[in-house]
Amino acid sequence: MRGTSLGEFEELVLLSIAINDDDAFSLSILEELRKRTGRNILISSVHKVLVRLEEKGFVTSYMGDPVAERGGRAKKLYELTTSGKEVLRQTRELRNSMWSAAPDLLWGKS
Amino acid sequence: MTRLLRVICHENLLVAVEGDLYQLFQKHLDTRGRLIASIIYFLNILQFMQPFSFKSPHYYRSVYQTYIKVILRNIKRKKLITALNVSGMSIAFLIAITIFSYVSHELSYDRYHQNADRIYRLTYRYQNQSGYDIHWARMNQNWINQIPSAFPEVEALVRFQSFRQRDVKVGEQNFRETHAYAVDKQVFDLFDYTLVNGSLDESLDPYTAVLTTTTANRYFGEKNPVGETIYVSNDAGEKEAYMVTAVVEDPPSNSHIPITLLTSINNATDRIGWAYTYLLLKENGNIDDLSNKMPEFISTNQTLQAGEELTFHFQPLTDIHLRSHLSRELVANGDIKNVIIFVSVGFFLLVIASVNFINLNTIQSMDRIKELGLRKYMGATKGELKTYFALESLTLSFISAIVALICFLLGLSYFEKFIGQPLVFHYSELIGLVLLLLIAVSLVSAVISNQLLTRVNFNRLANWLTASFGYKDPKKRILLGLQFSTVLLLISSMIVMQRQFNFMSQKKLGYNEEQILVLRNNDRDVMRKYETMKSELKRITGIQDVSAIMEMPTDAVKDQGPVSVDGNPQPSISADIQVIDLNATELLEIEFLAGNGLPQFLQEKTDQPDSILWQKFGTKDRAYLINESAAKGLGWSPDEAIEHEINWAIGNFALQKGPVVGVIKDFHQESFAEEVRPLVLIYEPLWTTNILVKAQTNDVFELHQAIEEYWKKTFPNEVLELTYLDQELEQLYLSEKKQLQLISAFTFTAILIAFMGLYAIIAYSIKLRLKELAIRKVLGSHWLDSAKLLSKEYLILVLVSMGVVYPITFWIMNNWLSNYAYHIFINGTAFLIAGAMLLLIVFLTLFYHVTKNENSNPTLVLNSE
Repeated sequence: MRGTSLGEFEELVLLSIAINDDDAFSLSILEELRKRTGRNILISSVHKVLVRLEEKGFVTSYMGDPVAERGGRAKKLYELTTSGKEVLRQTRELRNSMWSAAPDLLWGKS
Repeated sequence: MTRLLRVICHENLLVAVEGDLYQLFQKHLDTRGRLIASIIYFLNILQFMQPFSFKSPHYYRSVYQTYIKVILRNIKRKKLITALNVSGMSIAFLIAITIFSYVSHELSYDRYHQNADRIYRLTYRYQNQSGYDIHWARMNQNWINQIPSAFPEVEALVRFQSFRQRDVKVGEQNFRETHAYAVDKQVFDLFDYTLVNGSLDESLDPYTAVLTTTTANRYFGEKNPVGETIYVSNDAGEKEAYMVTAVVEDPPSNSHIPITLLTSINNATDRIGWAYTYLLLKENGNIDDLSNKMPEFISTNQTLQAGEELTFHFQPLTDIHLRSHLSRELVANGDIKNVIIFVSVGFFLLVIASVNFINLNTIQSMDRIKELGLRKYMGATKGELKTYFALESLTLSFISAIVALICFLLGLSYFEKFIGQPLVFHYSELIGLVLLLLIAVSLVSAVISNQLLTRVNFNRLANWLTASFGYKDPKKRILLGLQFSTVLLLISSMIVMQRQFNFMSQKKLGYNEEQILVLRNNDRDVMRKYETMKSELKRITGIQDVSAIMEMPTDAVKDQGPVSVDGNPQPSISADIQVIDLNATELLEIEFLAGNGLPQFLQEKTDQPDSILWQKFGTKDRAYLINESAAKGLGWSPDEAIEHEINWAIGNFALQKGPVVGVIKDFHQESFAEEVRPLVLIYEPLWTTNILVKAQTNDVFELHQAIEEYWKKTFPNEVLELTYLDQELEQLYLSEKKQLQLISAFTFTAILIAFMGLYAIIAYSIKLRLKELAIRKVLGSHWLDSAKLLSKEYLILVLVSMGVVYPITFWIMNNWLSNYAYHIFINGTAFLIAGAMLLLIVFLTLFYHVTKNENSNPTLVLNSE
């Protein structure tokens, strides 16, 4: 298993899965990311990250039912694992603690 | 494109990705139209060509491991058919490699020089009104030396002169060099010679010489030759001292100038006479422009008579070996035609072998059709079966290629010995060729096996032996027909070549070459003593007669000049000149059509000084012999000819008018490839160089020794070059003979391979009809009827192949025969024999298989379901 630290894009993908919860598959994640970040993201990048996240054990996947609009092919649905949720939480805590450690002065608070 | 994705993509991801892409495609189709959508779809697929989406190595390992295991098992189980298959293919590979090495050697001539593309040989063609038309490989116009100063685009002009045999004296030893040249210093700017010892900068200043390693070894052994002095004869036959300044490596065998010794041209005034002339063009020089300026250059330097024409030609250095066949080439050149012959033979062989390979492969797979059916049931996709077939044929051809390569490396030195020179080729190119062939053959084979086998309806597996597919397949017929055609082509061509060769070796030369020894290329010092030598040699037991001649009957006559008749100043024809001693016609047993040999009164003392002989040259009485062709050319019958008087001239050497005393039958000077030209024979002691000795003993060895002893005693400082006329003649036909041997060997191989293929394919087609034959037998048919039934099919195929291939063969062979001035005409025999041989092979195989089945019990066959 590779390192457990989370990259920025990985974090965003994990969050998108959390947002879409019961219908989290590659295209919906892509849509979510596009909408929220405004970046032009490639479908292959999403798949790439999903494969990596699954290897790291942060998400699990299962095959959904075949869908007509996909040419009769099933969706590969993703959901967060406990360690996935945990790593998201840790990342957030880390940020928060670092935010609070930074002197207010920096932000122009008078 | 989707297929590409399927092949590459990991199975866990495939469905999801395909679905995504489909959905995206539909979306884009609605919003942006089909074209854009397709493009995006395509680009999206390309995105997935990344390691993360690839199938895991485990997948490949497991699949290919089983494949290879099954393939190896099959090879083990079917040893015979695999051996047949692999040996056929390796022979074909071997021959392809061998031909490649030979052809690439032939094509590589002179390309190793760095400046090869800027070097041209200057040649000239001279024509005049009396039909004299000759294109020389060398030049004798001294004013060509001005070319570099007259034309700025020419960087240098290098002369190779003094190219006749030169005698070299080193210490007490005498050597004779046939490829010793006097050359300009710039020779090293043009041609690449690898320096071994000494310095090229100081070389070829006046009275210096450059040796090749072999020559240095011969002269000095292990001693360092640089700084030593050698004595080399010049054109006048006088020995001059030269200092050795450098040793270079022997030129590679793919050089058209096989030098052994280079000497300097010592004075500007010596840069004259006949020379092979090479030009180095400047980087930006254009050879066509230079060519166009030549007519003007020629006309300012030489005044031509009316009707005379002189043209200069520039041959690219790299074209000389294969494309130049001029008068007086340095060495006999190769021929692009031979290269083409060999390439096509190699190609045909590969076709035969590949067809064979495919057939055998398919048949072998047929036996495993149940295994394949099972694989399909178990979920093997068509693609996987394809991979399986490709892998199988790849394995087999890989083994064949390895075997072929090993055989080639082991046999290379023998092949080089056979060819007569080391071959120059690149191993990297050779390996590349093998890989290419390997992949091509196995791909084609896999595609065909796949086509034939995977289309089978496996649901009716139990009935797979239905005759509904396989032997009636037109593809199979084409394959078999191709094989028949190539065999026919090769056999019939070989027969024609064989007949031509027999014709050449049996054709009467017009003289008796047996038991004749020749003391070759003697200089004036020797020939001056000819009279005494003649009488002394005759005293040796075993020598019947001694005579002299200018050019050996195996060599070309070098001089040609106009003949005038009965004092008419206008020349009638142009004829070659041959100079003989009075008794030469008798010694060579040349037949006379009219008249007699040269009369005795012409006889002169040979031991007078040359100056006195030259004084009499133009004024003394002459008598002429002419050959049949000359008589015909002059419009006379042999009997008419002896009533006339003629005279012959070349340049300043005009001979006195004299009677035609005899007409001889045409005899063959040079090989049969050359037409017999009009010939005039005269007596002139100044011009004879070869001494002919007619032996009358079986102990030629002793005679040889006796002559050697006599020579050493009489001419301690001269080189003796003693050869046998019949051996020289054999040498003339050596290349034809070798060519024929090679072609025969290849043809034999082709027949062998084709036979193997035929055997297999007939076995296969009978297997498909086993049940039919069994039922016929049960119903009481005689085995001959079955044989008839089966043979009809092959007979038709053979006949069709004949119809297609014979006209092609006829055309090719006619072209080949036209190279020979004296050749056979193609009659039907070659075609009949080839056809008969093929049919015999086909029917023997058929007969064997039918009788083999005849002895089996038909109930067994019918019960097998």
